[in-house]
Amino acid sequence: MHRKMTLQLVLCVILVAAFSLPAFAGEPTEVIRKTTDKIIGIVKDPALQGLEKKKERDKLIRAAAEEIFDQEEMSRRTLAQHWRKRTPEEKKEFMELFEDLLEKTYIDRVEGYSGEKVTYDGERVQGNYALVKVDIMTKQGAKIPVIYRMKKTEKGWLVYDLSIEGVSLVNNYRSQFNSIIVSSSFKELLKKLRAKVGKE
Amino acid sequence: MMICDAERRLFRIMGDCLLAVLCIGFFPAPQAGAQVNNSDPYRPAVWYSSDEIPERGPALSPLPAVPEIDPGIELARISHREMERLNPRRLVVAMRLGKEPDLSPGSSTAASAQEYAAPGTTRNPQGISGLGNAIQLGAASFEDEKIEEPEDWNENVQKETIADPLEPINRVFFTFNDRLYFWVLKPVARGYRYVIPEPFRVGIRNMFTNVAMPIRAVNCLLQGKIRGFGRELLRFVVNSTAGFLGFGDVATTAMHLEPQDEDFGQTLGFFGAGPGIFINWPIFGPSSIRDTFGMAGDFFADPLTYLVPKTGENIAVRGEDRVNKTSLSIGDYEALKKSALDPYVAVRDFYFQYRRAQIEK
Repeated sequence: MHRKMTLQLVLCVILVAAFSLPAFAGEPTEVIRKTTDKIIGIVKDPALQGLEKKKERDKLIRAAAEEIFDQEEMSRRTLAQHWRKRTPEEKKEFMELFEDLLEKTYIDRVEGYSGEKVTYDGERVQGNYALVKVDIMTKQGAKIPVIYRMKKTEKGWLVYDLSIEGVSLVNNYRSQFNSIIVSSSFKELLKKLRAKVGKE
Repeated sequence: MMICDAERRLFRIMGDCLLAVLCIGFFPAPQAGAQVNNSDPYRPAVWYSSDEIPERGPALSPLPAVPEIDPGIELARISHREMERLNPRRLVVAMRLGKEPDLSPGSSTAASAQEYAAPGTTRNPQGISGLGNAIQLGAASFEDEKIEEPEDWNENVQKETIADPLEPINRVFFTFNDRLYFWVLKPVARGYRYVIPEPFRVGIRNMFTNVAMPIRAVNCLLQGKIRGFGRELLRFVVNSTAGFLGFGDVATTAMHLEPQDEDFGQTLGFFGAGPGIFINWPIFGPSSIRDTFGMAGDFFADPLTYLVPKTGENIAVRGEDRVNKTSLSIGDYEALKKSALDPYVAVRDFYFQYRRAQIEK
């Protein structure tokens, strides 16, 4: 009986070891992992708890997120065919407002963090582009698949889009912005963006 | 009872092995067959449209001398080739591609074709062993994901979105549903959340998921996802017994048998049906022509339709399901609205993208 148990244990260990060989994590995954750990660290930091520390916390999260997002690439892809028609000043203003909106959204989500587990599920690299797959396990046991799309720039690997459950953020904003520009104008879009991020 | 990670993992592996062996035994799936010999000279290097697929399998590159033929390997090879021909997904893809698939480098077709031709290299960069590969069968969504978006993001937004000629009416119903949520559903769900503790609400959700097994199982079958079908049956047996009529989702927590997210709308999409136009139904919410037909199909495959045949009671039960689910996701819709410049367009696009991803899976 005892021997059988031991044998089972050994088998178990071998099987587990064989299947859990750490997937080769390349550079893009490391970039995501580093930033994710950093942000979770900020949210969990006991010195930064409470409402009165929200500003400080937000600033740190913002700084950490800014490091890995390629703001220009994101803006370019989101405005798509409307990007080329814009003047450099318009582009700059749009980029800033869009960045504010994204960070606001992102910070709201991160603030709701309550111990969800993040696992890194693999990456694929093709030339200067890469996909990094991340799974977020909610407390209720649901798995939310997130895919980061990254591009290699002189600043290293930067994220230009992320999709949650197959829904790409850039695509979603693109259809909204396109709908607003087509039905009214680019000025109207900027106006709405300003109102949304509270910069009127 | 505490189940440690290693045990959980072992359970999962055992369950998967069993299923894989069962499924592969009867239906040698492409990857499993391919593992027999990676340098298989019969492996397709090119994609064919349906009417071009030759009797004996795809174009034969000059045959390297095969010194000795193992009858077992040969049999696996033949059955693999047959499965390849019969694989509905492949046929659909081939039909969609038309006669001359675009194989210029950089196109997504070329990328997947290459991937198809050399599964050992791109499909499985970690070099997982044959058994591991067999276990991963049917879970190839990440591998199918395009790395670079096609260039049309720059030119044509319309291609990447859903037609919406009914927008004015849809917007009216969107406002209606929005009010319905904030004025009725959310207050009710909050009261409900206050009265019933979370574990019970999760349990009730699990029961509804468990009872709806036939919808998922039938649609796995219709799409030729034999393994998913087996998983659903096994899940149902385990959860209905060990999980106390589905209250606990033991199959997921202990055996990692997650529910297969399939429905009739996805089956229609799998066989090439596009979404048609966007329809935002009052009460039911975002849908499309295809998914409206799908909803009707799901209704008839749903045991609740027959278990609770009286209309009034049926609506009550479905209402409970809705309130219970809402009580577990209060805040999601609010977050979406908060991050959107035009919530209607955001929801419409979200729905379009989400369904497309579900169908591709």
